[in-house]
Amino acid sequence: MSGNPPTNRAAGAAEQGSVGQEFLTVAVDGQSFGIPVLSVRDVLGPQRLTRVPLAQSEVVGALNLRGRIVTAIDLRRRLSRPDRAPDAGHMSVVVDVRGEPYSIIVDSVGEVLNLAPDTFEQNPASLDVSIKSVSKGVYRLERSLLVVLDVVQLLDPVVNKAA
Amino acid sequence: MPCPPVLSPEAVCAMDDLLKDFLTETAESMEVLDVELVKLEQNPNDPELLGNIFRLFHTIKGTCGFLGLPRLEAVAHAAENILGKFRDGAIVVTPQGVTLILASLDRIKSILAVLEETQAEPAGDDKDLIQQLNSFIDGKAQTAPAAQAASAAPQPAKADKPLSLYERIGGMGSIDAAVEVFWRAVASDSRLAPALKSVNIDRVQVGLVNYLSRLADGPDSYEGPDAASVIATLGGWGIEKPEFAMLAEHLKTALRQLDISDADATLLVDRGMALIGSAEGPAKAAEAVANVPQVDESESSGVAQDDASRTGLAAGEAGNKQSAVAANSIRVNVDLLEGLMTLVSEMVLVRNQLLQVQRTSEDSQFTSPLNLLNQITTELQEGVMKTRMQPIGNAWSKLPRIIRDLSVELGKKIDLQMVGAETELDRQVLELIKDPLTHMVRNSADHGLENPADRRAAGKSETGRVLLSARHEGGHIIIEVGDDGRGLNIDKIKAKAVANGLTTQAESDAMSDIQAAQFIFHAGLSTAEKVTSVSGRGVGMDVVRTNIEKIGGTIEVKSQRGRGSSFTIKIPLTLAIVSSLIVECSGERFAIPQICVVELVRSSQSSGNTVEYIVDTPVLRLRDRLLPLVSLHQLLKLDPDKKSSSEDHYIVVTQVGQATFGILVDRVFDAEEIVVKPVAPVLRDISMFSGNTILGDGSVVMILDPNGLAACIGEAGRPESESSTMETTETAAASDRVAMLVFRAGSGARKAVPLALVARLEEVEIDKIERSDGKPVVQYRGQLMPLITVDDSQTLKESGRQSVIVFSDKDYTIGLVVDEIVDIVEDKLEVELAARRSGRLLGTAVIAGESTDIVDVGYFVGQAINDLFVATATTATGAATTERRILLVDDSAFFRNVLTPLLTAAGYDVTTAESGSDALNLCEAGREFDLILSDIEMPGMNGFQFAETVRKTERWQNTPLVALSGHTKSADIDRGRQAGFVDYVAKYDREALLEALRETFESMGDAA
Repeated sequence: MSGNPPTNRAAGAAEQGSVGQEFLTVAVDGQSFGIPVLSVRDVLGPQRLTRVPLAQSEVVGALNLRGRIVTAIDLRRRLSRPDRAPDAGHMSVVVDVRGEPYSIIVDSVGEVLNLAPDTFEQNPASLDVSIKSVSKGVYRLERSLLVVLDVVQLLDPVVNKAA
Repeated sequence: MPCPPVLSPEAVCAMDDLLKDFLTETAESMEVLDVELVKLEQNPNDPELLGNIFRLFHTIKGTCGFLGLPRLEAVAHAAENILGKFRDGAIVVTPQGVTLILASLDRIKSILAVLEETQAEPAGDDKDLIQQLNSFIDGKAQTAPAAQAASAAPQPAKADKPLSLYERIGGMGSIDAAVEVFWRAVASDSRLAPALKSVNIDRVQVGLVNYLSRLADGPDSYEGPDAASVIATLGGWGIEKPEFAMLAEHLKTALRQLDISDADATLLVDRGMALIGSAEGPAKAAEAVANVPQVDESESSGVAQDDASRTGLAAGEAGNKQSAVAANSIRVNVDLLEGLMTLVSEMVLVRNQLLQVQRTSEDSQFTSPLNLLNQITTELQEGVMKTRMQPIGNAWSKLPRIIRDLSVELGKKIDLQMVGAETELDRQVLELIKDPLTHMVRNSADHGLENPADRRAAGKSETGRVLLSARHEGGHIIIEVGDDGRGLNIDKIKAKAVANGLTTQAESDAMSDIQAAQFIFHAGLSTAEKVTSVSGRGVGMDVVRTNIEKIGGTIEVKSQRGRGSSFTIKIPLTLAIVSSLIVECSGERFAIPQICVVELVRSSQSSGNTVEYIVDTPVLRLRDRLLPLVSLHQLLKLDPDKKSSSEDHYIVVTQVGQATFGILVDRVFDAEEIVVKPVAPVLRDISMFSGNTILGDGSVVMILDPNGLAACIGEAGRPESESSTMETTETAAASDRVAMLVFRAGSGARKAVPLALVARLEEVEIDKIERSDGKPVVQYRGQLMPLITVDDSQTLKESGRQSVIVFSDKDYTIGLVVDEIVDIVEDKLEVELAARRSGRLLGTAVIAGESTDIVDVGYFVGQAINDLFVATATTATGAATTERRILLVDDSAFFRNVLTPLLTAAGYDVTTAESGSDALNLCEAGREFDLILSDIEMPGMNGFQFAETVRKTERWQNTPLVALSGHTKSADIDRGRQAGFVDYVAKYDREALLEALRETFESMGDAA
């Protein structure tokens, strides 16, 4: 069932800086993030979530994605941002980490961008640690900056804790 | 019974299974070898091919050596020698060489065939063949391969009969050569060639050789496909009846080219044609057989007819025999089955969702196809479930032997009756109950049954009976282990329970026998003296109970004084699908496995059942008893805003082992069959959930783990136990906790040893203690058991009975004299003071809140027996009781099966991997091991490559690697050291392996 997600992930991680990297842009608390397209399995609207009592706070629940149970992680909580307003909508991006599907909950999902490597830069030294630890670098877009999310790192404390 | 000298008696019990595995595995290797060898002849310089062939022969040789099959081993060894020379380039690969190897292969096959039937190697030797093989190496190879192979035919000519057709035509060698010629002719025949384009010629040739050999009344051991399947195969290639005649012509020509007489050639070919005719249809069969005499020129019609029918029969038999092993069963990777199971589970869920939609909608257009889908899904599910089912008899196979040994050892007459061995259950469940069952049967025979004299005195027959039965009952398997022995001594158990503070005198007086008997499952109750003086069960009934509860099962005991006792185990058929009760609390739904649910109680103001509070603890009066309640709301820290305001509650009365408690919930829905899915790794540390699932409406619910709930409420949940001293709410992983036997002996603090090392607890009568060389010994089970004291200040009792902890290895037994057994405590073991007192103690740890000396069992054993048997579990300070974790990497399922129990028995915690890459996946998954044991000859990544890769990983770079290999040439050993192996052990030497592990761990201990 788990297919071969590590390959996808590895591809997403290794191709940093190569020509024609594609990213799905998402927004959280006003900041744009890019998730390597190859690691994305699904993009979902608001789903019925089942709360998991006693779990870490960023684990907001579990959902049924075509028969698979997916653990939902709220990116706001993961990045220690304030919770979104109760009536604000949200989207979720499903990724596979070590064969387990996770749904990353974001405020909104933008578009898929093909970004040239020459607009890529390393993390600015002054970047907040909570962001830096999950960022692989920054792309200079015309009007904004896109932080490239390191999906494995992003779910790492979560995954590692379990391991 | 082939009984290898290197295996322990217990291993011999498993021989049937081992042999079966060996046969299956070797049959597979044989098939590969047939093909590969022919390929080798065509590409003599392909090192990879040669390596693979060598490896396969090598494995066969090694396995035979391990199983004690000298004939097979000798043949395989001789063949391997040639292959080795091929590989090293000392001899050039020639057709003669390959023919010889093929001849050995055939010999191995013929021996295997007998082995499969009789479970023993046929008598005789293979000197002729081995001599040829050896002389080939010596350069004395004869030039005519046909002649060689012919004389290599395993069965000598029968002197009292005229030469058979087989012998006249020159045996296997001629047939082999004829087929070669025949095939060349066929391939160049423009009429036939197109049909054969896609045919695997190597396979066909081997089949044809076998077929012809059988036709010619060759040795029975040559097996070929029967005529019908030949026709079917040929038909599959587009060769129909008209072409058969052409084939026959070619064959005849080929035979003649090899100087086989016309008559014999015609006879052989006509026999083939007749058989083919007979196989075409039952109607024609009689006619075809009748035709045989007419085409038979050289033999009397009667004999020919006999021949033909015999050949036909034999071919049929061969077909059946083959199907028994190969055709009718295939081995499938368990992962694949698990994958299928998951898919089917998901399909079931989707089906459930569809059915739910259908129920609510008016549209009946879908009703009929949905019902069909429903039905098919159910059948599919059952089918896939069946692939995982195995008869419970598989778990029982060792028991008769164990009982036989016990009866000899104990001087009892024991009759083991097993009923319902064919009852099937999920293989996963089967694995988990194997050990508890063995333990219980052993206990019944050992402690339950009296010796013959006592039985006679009690008016019972001398032969005691142990009954083991299994049956299906309402989606569960009921297993009963009973004996007609003396039964449990309830009074003693009660006294012991009172003495241990598990209950009060008043309570125990009021207690029924059945209630009191449950104490034997109690971990807190020292099982110590029960073993001998209370006629109870041995150490570990609590472990048995824990294991059974782990798989959602229950265990009960019934006992009647003087009439015997019986244990009833109820376990689910499968762990994958469970019937569950869906409940709601604070707006969230949860599933509770039905097997734990005893009853449902509704509590409301109006009804008589009201939840009452003792301070803040909710309880319920239920049939004049107070039932402790747990509030799911509190336990799971659910949203307080959503708490049901109503005073109405439902109480799910739940039983986990002997603990009964009520779970307070807001609502109860239906029971549903749910498919258990493991929770995401991130949630695995929450002990409250055993899994999650998707309900019919598509929503995810968490499955509550009643064991986790019970652990949370601690011992308080056990109605028999009012004391809460044992209570622990810590939910540390079970593996961190070690069961320790706490006792008092000599001066100083309490002492403890890991329970796992304790063989049993005994009381010996002081009168029986003798002196040998000034040291106390006692006769114990036909051996002299030395009695040792913890320190010199300790003295034996003057009179009465002396408590003794017995430690035992297969050869040695020693008794540690103790003053008093205090308790069995499961706790985290952290040795804090590693102060050694002349090596007797490992250190001091806090156990159950009191400082306790941890006794070094290895020291005492070493002291008592001037042999350093150094118990495997006694190792460096601190880690004394944690099992060493070994990762075993071997591509052969056979060796994994052999070595795993061996290593486990030696006290290691063994994990297996099929290949280097599987092992590396474990590394990536974050698994840690203390040592990695790796095979060298593996397909794909070999042992050297694996070791080099492991050395590059961060996690495992310091884990010692031990190589496991058949050949221990110094060049290999050097290569191994370079690759990072610390030791290099011959795979088939059990003692050397254990010794090497011991040494490696010891040197690690020194380094640490």
